[in-house]
Amino acid sequence: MDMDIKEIQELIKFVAKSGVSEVSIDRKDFKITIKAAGNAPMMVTTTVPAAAAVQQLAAAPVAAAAAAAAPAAAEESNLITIKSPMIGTFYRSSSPDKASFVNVGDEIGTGKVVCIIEAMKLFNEIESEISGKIVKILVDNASPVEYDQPLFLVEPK
Amino acid sequence: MSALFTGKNLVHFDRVSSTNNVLSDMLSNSKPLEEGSVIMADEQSNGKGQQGAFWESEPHKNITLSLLYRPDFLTIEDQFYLSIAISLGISDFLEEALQQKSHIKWPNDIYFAHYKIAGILIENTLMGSHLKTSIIGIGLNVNQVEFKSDAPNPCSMKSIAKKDFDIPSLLPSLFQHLEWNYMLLKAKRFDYLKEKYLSKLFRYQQECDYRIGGTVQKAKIIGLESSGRLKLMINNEVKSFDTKEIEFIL
Repeated sequence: MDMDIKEIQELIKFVAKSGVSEVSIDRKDFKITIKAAGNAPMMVTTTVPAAAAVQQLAAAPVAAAAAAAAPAAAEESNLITIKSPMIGTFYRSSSPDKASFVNVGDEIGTGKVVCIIEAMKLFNEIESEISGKIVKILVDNASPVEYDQPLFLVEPK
Repeated sequence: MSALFTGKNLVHFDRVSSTNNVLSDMLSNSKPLEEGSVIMADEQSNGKGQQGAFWESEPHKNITLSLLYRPDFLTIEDQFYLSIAISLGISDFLEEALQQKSHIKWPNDIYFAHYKIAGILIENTLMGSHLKTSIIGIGLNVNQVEFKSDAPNPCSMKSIAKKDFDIPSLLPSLFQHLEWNYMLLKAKRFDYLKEKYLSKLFRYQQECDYRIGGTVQKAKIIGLESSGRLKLMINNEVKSFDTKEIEFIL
């Protein structure tokens, strides 16, 4: 099962809003339980059942992602997305042989170029309008993006 | 008549990596750069085409420059008109210099017959829903007649006119035509610019072969959406394409 931070965050948000006390998803290679107990902090537990080594390898990043989601969930309303201002193609660097403008963990300031969106051979540098830390990059290099599509998750300063 | 601000501040280098990069660095590092500033180089060690493509230019033989405009009056959704205005500026300049009709191959290559004479690389910064700055890289073949790279079909002013040109004396006219079309853009004469673009559009209203989704199909260019998407008639049906969805077969 493929579940990224964003989906887990959305699940947590859903549970919090719905008023149910507990949601469990149990799959062959992945299990997640979200408990909301009154005013107590929300608990997220994930387990990866022992299985074939290959499966464990595949599942490990998911468990790690879930662990990372817990603190993110506490400040989840704080995370800000940088969205695409236009339809086009998303590039993380100015050309294939150049380093990416930003990587996960980077501190960025207002005005920092975070990516290029190309449309009809016009290359547009997208500058951050916020300062903070890049938590996640939501789009792969050279993929098409829609107007308003989230590109980066940023933990603001 | 000469250009009022385009090329007024002209910085000339013998050799740079790429004029677009130099202009971009100057823009982010130094004091405010005036609109119309131009960076020229006799030689580019790493001339840029689009996303990693290389622009071949023999030193001292061609025009390779980058021009700074600040089209902050233009919304992102209208940005293709900037590409149109620049293409028209180069095309108008060449037609005056060579007394021959040029064509614009969608989206922004300049052609004579089916040979490419100039290419454009536009790199913008944005501010909210508008453009902020635009670095316009222009590569225009002037006196070069031998091309080594595998570019399919290059030509130059010399290969067309059968004579050499003095590059510095070409610049005032180039800047004037660029500025004129840019002023039309600033006046938001979008319909006029689009009409003029279509009148010069390579293969406009002609039935030709295109590679679409892996297969070769006969199609006819019939128009342009304001986003820049090309409209073609295929089997009596109108379809529109972006630059990654269709390829010209030359």
